Amino acid sequence: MSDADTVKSIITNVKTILTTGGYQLEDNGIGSDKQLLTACAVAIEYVGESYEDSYGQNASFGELILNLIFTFNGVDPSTRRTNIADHIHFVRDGITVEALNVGDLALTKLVSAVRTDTVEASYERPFAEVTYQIKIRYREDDTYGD
Amino acid sequence: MALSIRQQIFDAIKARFETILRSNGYDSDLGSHIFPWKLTSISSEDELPALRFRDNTAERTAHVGKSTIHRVQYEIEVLERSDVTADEIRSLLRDVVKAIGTDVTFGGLAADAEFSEDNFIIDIANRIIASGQMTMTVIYRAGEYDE
Repeated sequence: MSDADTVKSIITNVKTILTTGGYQLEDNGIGSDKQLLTACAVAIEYVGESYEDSYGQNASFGELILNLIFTFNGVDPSTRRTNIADHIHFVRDGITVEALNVGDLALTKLVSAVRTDTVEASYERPFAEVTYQIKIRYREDDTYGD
Repeated sequence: MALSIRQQIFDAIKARFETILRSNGYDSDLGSHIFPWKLTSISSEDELPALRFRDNTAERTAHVGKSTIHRVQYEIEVLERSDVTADEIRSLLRDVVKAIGTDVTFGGLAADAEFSEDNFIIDIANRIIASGQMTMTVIYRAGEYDE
């Protein structure tokens, strides 16, 4: 599997986790709850990647960096706070190594670690936004550099 | 043809203003004379008190993904006979705010509605109508290239 295909499979699995969790993916248009009064929209932004040096026979690893941007109606201050906590911990609990090594990655299990760099919440009435930066470490194609 | 979100909100605002009646717990019967986009003068004192409103300006901001945030500004004007007191104009303005505040989403069409500045004029010589103006912004989310 090429590294590009690995990354695309990881993103597909992230989308599946979020959709299954009830989030409105911005990729799919505006959704039925247009004003996000009860729903939460999420956009997946591809921030970049970083790569580890490999030594000798060790496999090389890449790290995919994604920003997950959650947007919802945050006019009510108490539900705004609880929603922020729900969205942050949905990602923290739901986007795991096990959850990502499914589908095209089920056999190879190329994802080896998931970590969080920064999580930021902001509010500009009426919309609240949570930007969750997630870093997903994956094993690169062994033929890299041959 | 499906109405745009902006049109549906405009219609909902008009319907909301029409509920401003003493029988509904308001302090006036402003809802009896609602004039959307009426730029000409009120023709008779029988039409007072009255409310005129219009959606003058709109601002659109592309949001992440495939949505756009719209901020439509409404100018709202309440009109009354010139011999009314400032208290009465304040009361009309309060009725407008109270009516909008019953549901700022207009049944889920908008994300929010907020008022900014207002001003009013009363008891000016040779004027037969007193008025109060206020500005309201309705914020809603729509799809890309949609209104």
